[in-house]
Amino acid sequence: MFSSGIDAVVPMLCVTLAALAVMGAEAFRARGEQLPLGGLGVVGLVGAAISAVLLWNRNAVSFGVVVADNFGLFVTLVLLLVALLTIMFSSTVVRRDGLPAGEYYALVLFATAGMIMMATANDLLVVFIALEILSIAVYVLTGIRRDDSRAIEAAFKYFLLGAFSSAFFLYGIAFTYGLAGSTRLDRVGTYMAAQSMSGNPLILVALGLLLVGFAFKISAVPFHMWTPDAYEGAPAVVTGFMSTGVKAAAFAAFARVFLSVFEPFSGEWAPLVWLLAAATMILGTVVGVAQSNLKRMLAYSSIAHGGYLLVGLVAANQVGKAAILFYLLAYAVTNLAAFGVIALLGTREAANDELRDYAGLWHTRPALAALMTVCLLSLGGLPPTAGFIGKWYIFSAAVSAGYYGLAVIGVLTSVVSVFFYLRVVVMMYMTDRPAAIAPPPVSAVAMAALVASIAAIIALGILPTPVLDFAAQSIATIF
Amino acid sequence: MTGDVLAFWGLALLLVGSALAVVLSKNLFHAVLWLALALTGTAGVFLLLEAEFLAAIQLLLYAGGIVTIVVFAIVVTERLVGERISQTSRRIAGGAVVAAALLGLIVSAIVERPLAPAEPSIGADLTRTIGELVQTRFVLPFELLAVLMLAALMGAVYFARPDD
Amino acid sequence: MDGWLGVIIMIALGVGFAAVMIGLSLLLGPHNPTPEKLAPYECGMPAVGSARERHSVKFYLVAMIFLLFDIEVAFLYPWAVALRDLGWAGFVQLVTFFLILSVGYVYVWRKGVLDWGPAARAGRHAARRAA
Repeated sequence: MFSSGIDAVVPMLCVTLAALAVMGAEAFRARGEQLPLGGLGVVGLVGAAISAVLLWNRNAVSFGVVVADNFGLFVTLVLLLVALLTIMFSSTVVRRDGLPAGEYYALVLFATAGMIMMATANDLLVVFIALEILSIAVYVLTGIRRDDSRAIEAAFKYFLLGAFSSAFFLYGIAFTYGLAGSTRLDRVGTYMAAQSMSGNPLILVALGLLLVGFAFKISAVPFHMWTPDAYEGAPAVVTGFMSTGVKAAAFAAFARVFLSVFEPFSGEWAPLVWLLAAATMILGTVVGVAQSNLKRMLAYSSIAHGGYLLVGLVAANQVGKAAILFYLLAYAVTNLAAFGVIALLGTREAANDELRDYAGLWHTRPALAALMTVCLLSLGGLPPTAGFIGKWYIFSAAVSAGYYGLAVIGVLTSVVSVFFYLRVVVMMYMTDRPAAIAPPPVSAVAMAALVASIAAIIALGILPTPVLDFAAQSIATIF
Repeated sequence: MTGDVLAFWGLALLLVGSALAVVLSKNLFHAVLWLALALTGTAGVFLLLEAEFLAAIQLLLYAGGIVTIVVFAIVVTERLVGERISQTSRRIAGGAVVAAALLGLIVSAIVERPLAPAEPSIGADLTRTIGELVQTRFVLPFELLAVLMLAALMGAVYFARPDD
Repeated sequence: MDGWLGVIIMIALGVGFAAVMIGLSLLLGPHNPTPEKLAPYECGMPAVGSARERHSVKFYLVAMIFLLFDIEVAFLYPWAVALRDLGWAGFVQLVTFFLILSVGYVYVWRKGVLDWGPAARAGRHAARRAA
């Protein structure tokens, strides 16, 4: 099991080196000088993607604590895509809003490195440190507009509750270590398998604490309190980044810990996750309907989407596990593109993220309106988009595993959610724009990122089979 | 009752008392001083467990470093805000109920099935064992810590740096 | 707990001495409070002042940076104790750790966080005017 090579950490290493390079370049940047720091980041991300592809099917293990199995690599590729799209959208936003480019890109890359580490970690200690790296970077990114008191408040709330949840997580790790005598996931898994009949209540305590820690990070109800404020206060690109990247990384670690290590105790945790999933889907949808701010609405929508992912986790059959991976990809691309549109419509003075700002968008910015429509349809789970296929597989997994209740709740909340997504679409097309303020021009890079995401959403919606096979292959190796 | 047990209960009393004082005292400076006492008490627990290195680190970094930073943070914030800040914890009763429930849950679990009482066998010198483990089994988390501290440093400097 | 008796006696002496001194001064000293005497800091900068003065934030930053490099040193100690067994691998790993953190040091330095005196501030003002 132990190999001294560093193969498995190469993707994370590429991203970290890019982050260090950006930080160094920023340090030596002359005042007023513009450096292609985003491009530097893209180089690191592409290097990481290439190494991740080369590692496919090799199950490389490094230092005994990182395992680059296909599951981890699939999530790694999703995370790299998220980071790449984020940087492409950011190129416009950073210049427009006068954000500090060096710090911004370095933190995005640090966060990405932490996410990749979290997705491939095979040791609870590494999961924790990776979680802290990505969390700290994202806290700062949330408040990157430090003159904006709303952004600072959002960052502060996120930081306090995040630190709180980290404490829960760490406490859970401590109990797990106390019981199993190791933090290595494979050793803990062996211990748990041997103890599955013992009914040791301490195992349940450890499990519960870890569950709370994860639930905070994926903003499952009732641990979602920080989400709407943090998502609304952060710049829209950052919201897109954290609502997809953080969630994907946390879900990967969640699935790895609960579906493999704590699998013998699924009888204990599955009902809890069932409740979390149901509450998350219902609250995210119901409260989302009442929002008048598009960013806040999408914040609740991303809470609800976390609920759908939890359904896949409860229905942990083969279909369910593959469906989680597919859904992560579909959700990441869709949500990122939606927040990308919001970010591109803002100006330095006004965020333009109220619902009424979208009235008549079709008349002023037809391209952006059309792209936003596709995103919203995909978020609502309408064909022929990636969101539809993702929900289809999640719910069919739930049905085949016998969780009819969850499937019904999922379908009903999806139907309700279509209402609030369509409300935005109707506003964009059916109303004339009152006193239209022409939004700023969109850079070619950002537009290319948008078009590519939309193409991916439709492609995944029409031809999902290759990616689904890929996802099924990924989970076959470990669970 | 041996000396160890006596010392443990003394420390436990000190820890719980000072931790409660941290959350309950109105004056933030007093809270910080109680925090320093709580962190020092934790060092005492490490000493009881014969982890001298950890105890020293606990005193140096937590009771020394962290407390200093908190004091600085309070002073700087009070200067920026222009008034004394006091602790405004609310819903203390609710919090106490939740904390007591969690405590009851964990204690009842430990009482029902105690953790292995045997101390893990560690070679002659704990500090040396730590040094070896950090550089072998835990070398990746160790290097990751540097990345973590770097990200934290950057964030702190970004927020605290005066406008230029 | 062998060998700790000396430490315990030392702690007892230290705490006892401080307690006796405080107790004596409470009992014997004149009691005549003024606002200055009741301030958290009797000397140094006033605890409450104008919000326009941002310079004090530097104290906080330096303390933070100090703590980070303090942690770095804390890892140095067990490494040094186990130096002989770890050999070159341990050395390379430690240097890597230091190199990563040195990026942070360079960043902090170049960003002027460590600049302190009026000369440094004047330099920054000049640079701003030039930009």
